[in-house]
Amino acid sequence: MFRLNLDDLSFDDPIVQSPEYGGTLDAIAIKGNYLYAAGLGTQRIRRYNLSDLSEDDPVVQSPMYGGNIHRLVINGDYIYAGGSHTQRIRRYNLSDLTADDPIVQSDDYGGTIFEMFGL
Amino acid sequence: MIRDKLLMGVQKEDGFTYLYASGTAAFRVKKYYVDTLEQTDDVSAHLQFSNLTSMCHGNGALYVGRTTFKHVVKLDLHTLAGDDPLVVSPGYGGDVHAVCCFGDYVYAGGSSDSTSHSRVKRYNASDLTLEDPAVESANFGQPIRRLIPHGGYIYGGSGGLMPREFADIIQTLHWIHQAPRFQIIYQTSPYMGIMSMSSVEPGACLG
Repeated sequence: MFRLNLDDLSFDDPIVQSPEYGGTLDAIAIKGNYLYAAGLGTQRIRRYNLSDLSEDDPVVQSPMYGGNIHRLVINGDYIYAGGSHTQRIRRYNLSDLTADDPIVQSDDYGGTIFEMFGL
Repeated sequence: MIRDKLLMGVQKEDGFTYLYASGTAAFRVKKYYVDTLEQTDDVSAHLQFSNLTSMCHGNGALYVGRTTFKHVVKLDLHTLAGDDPLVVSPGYGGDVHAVCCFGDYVYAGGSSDSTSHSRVKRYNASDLTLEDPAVESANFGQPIRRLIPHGGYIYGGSGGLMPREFADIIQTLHWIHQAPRFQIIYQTSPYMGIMSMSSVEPGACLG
């Protein structure tokens, strides 16, 4: 994950980029001072500092979603993930990316969730 | 300072009542209560074995990009019902991977059946017709994965899933379109595989 300047699409020097996520990134959401990213491979949501795209030590990340994550949506104190295999929308606590017990999730969408948005 | 930056990803304001989801296999847009994740009674009709890849909304309508039928579908944003007959765009010419709404238009991008024609195409939001003459971008060169409107421009991201060995000879383009006139400015950034993008400006993007 990297950052571009909006006016001319140039990189900063040095390039501002995150540590490797561990797979292809397919979803990002931003709130406050953090950027949340998810995708394929690790199947987790990871949190990065928005200012420099660094990770905290230890890394703040969600439990495994159970499939590739294709979309993230933030609402209030929660972040929602949708994707493949579980084919459900799952809810995580935004503060530490933990899941409630039992996990709050939708019924099976019926296929891979490619797109989500809130209204 | 961050406000002038563009990051890959999806940006949303919060304070929602509903979450909308689309994808494969179910071939429907489904709507959930955000608090409980229970599905509402508002669900689209079965959209005929076509993956629903991307959504955007504007003026009370929901626009959904499709693969098999390679076009954009217009639904009611709240009930998810479609008109009879269903309002669909003319064929994009390939799988639609990305749609975004901006002003009176819906913009679609994707992977063309012809490798030389990955373009952004503009449809009238009211009825998804093309203008005469049709307005479209220059060839993007690779599948267009994301489109986001921001500050008078539409940003496009392409690539993803390309073999690494092509990295030296194929640049993933990261370009700007000026909307609504749609005259290309075309600035690029050499980077492979842009799957997702976001502006840091709140509410600017529906990835």
